[in-house]
Amino acid sequence: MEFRKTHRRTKRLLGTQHRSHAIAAICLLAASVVMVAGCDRPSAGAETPTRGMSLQQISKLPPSADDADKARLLHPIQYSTPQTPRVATDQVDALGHPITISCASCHSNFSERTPVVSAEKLQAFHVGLKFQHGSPNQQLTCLTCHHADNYNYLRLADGQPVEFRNSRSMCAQCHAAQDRDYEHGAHGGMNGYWDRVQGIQVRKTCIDCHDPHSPQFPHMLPNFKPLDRFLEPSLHHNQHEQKH
Amino acid sequence: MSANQITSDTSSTATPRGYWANYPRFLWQSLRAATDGSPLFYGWMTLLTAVALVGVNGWAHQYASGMIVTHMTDHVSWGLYIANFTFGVGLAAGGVMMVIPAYLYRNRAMHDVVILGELLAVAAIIICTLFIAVDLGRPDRFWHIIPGLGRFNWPISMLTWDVIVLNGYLLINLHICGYLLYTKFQGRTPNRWWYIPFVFLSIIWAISIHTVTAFLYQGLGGRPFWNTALLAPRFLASAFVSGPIFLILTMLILKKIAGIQLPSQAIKLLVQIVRVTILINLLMVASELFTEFYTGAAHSVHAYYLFFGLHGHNALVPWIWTAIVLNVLAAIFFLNRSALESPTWLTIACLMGLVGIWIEKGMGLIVPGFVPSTLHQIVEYVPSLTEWQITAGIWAFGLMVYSVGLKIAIPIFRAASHDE
Amino acid sequence: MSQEQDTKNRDSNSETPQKRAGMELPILGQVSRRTAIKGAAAVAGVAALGVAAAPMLQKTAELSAAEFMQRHFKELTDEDKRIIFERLENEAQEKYDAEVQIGDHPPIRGVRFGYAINLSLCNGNGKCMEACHRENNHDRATQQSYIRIFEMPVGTTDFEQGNTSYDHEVPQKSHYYLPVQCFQCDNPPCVSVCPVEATWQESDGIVVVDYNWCIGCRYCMAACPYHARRFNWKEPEIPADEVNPDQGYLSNRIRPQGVVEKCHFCLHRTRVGKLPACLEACPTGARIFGDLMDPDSNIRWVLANKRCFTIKEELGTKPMMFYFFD
Ligand code: SF4
Repeated sequence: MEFRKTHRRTKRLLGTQHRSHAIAAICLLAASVVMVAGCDRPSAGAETPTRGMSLQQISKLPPSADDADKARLLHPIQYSTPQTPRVATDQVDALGHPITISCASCHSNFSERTPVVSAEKLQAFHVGLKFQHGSPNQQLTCLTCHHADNYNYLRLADGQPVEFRNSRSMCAQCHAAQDRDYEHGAHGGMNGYWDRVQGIQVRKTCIDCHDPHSPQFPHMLPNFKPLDRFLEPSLHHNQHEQKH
Repeated sequence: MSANQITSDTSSTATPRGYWANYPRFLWQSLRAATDGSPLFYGWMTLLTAVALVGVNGWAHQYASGMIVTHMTDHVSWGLYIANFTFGVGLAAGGVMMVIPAYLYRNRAMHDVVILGELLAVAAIIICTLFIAVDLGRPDRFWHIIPGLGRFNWPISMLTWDVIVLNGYLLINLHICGYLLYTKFQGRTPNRWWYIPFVFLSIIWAISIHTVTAFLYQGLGGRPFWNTALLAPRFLASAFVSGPIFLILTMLILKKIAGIQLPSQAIKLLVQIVRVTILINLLMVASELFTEFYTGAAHSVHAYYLFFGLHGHNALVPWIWTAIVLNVLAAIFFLNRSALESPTWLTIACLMGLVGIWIEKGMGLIVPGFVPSTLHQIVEYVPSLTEWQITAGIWAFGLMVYSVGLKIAIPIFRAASHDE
Repeated sequence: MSQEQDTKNRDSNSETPQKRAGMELPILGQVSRRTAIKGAAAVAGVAALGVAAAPMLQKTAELSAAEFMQRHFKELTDEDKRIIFERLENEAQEKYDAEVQIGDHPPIRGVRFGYAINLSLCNGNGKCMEACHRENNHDRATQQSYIRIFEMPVGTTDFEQGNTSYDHEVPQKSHYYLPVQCFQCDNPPCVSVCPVEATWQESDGIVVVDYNWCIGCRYCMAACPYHARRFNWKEPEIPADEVNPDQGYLSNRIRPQGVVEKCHFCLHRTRVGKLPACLEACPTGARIFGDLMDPDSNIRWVLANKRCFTIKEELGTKPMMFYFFD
């Protein structure tokens, strides 16, 4: 009995059946002594219900009993909130800091709506503003997102004003898939705690990573490489370059 | 002590009185035999000692500064040491090829030379143990692998099986050698029951040591080059080439240099054995290569790297072709009866076979398992000077053990057979 | 030659070796000159051995009895651990001039970690590698890290086409980036092969190494199909001010020479509820970490809603690190 138990435990430890068969076949006799060796084996199997489950099985696990309690204990998620926007002016103050101006400071004064549609036309006060949002043959315009009446607000597709701090709901109109991922922690990254029972999770928001006027994630230069002994990078790489 | 004497008094087959009392004298006599000799013997032993000391020095450096003094990497994490270990296990297992004809087929002529095989096994196992020892990153934690003291992950880890079978093989062979020598030293006929069972055990055990060693590699699913069911049989086949070849060489050298004439039948028989096994080995290599190259699947990159080089990396290509050429030539020689009549040609054929197998089973088997790495990065491996130093040192030490063993054993055996 | 002489002697005396031995043993005078020479040779040999082995003396002196005798982690009582951690902290102080705290960090009950990477987002910038390097007190000279990123041409998952050593702007056209680290497999081949149980899987799935028990045989490195394990070919070097003082015994404490190490999902962070360092450092948000047992966790949502795959699934290792493309 003890023997069989140990053997089963061994099997579980081995995970796959065939390996355990191989070993059992090599020396069945030996397995009787396994008890001794098996006694102090980690009993990890008992505590780990996912052990040996497939990806599909894991993703269908039922909710656990203490979920309700847990919900009460959770720390809030701390979202970063966008401020009302400012624009660079290409000028510096006495201390040499660049001067930025709140968009609304000009745009609220304009009696007439400026029918500007593309960034190229913007010269003064919009230095460095690169506008590239939307598909190449159907670029968005300023007023797709900015509320024409009040530049302290954004606008939804139906014209409703949205505060800047809630900008995500506006982005989500087009980027629903990303928003859904974000909602489930699968987009945008995070900091702090995965276990919200133990601490606060800090989330960035859309425009922390994406420039709303040119939202494509910037190109980067990798500046850290592990130096594996004797790994000759260039040769290997060039070979592939030639091949393609 | 006294208990033994009582038993020897009462039992009829009977060890004579003083069976154990003679033992210190036997040891003393052995020590004398081992340290007395001709200038040639002294020269040989001095040379081996010197090389062994160079090895000790290399290892001391490696211990102090870390394995960084080797050329192993995270990509090629085993190298020359494990390659030699594998070959050594083959040698140890091959030694038993002397024993099979002697006892399984009751070939009397072989009985006298069986001790050669046993001694080779002992020396080879010592070599293997040392190669494992120098390959450890933390030799100071050696006790962790001692059952009872440390934590012995048996039966799951194949390495623990290897520890068991190798040490078991060492003990069995030490017992057989020691028992036969001691009884012959006393001028008595050995009691069959005290060694024949062990001889048969050692035959089975010899198979097991090499099978288990092959399982070390062939059980690794992540290394397709090793993950083949043919590995264990291939190991055995090559072991039964290298072992007998080593014994033939021993006998040739003993005859040539020390003028010791061992039954010529023995060499003939061993040649016949090699004649078969060398072909079996080649057949298995060919079968392996066919699978690799004809399928041409992603897994054959290792074989490509080994035989033809990969993306301009071809450090192993000269090695493996040397091995193949040597093996094939050796096979041709061994098939050619007349060529082997001359001891010179026989020696050459044996040397070719030995070196061929050493490469094929050592560097040609271990290193390509790692190149390209599991994530297909190519880092090549060429042993460092320290690795060569330590390797030479270990072989020198092994040969010392073997030489001393022969030095002690042969006179005793010859005297005994003279008496008969 | 010598054997020849022996045989001749024996023939002429026609004595059994037994008799000869019996006769010669007491008469030491006969052999005294020889014995003297032999003795001298033996002394010289031992002296030479001493000289040859001298380089290891210093290292052996550094090895304390307590370290040498230390038992396997699972056999340690809390008191043992306290003493050992203190010893290790002192060692860090002496060797690295760094004040560190080493903790135990047992697994949280009922938690099982999973990790996923969104390959559509990962752009191969390598911030995760760097974060790992700093967090885990890796050797500075080799810029060691548990992570490698493969630049792969689209249309293949064959690593042979991949390249880890790119140093151009990323992402490149028609390439994707595949970060690889320890997958904390559910059926870890590295664990089964270890002869001394120096590496094992804990209840949250993390495969750990007792750096003070590992004998450095590197069998686990041969067994791992994912190149996840690293060996300390020498003692790591880290400037005092760069040492991360928040350390775990089974995770990021400074490793001794000659042992194997591997990614441990930052267990000194994750087992107190924090996110792993590589995830926090990822600027693209490609990494998703969480508890597989919690049905509301991010990782569970990813598994249920994204088409995930694992690498070398055919090996039956059951990795707990999943990849997906959006
Ligand atoms: S290197 Fe260490 S952890 Fe890996 S198998 Fe050997 S003893 Fe175990």
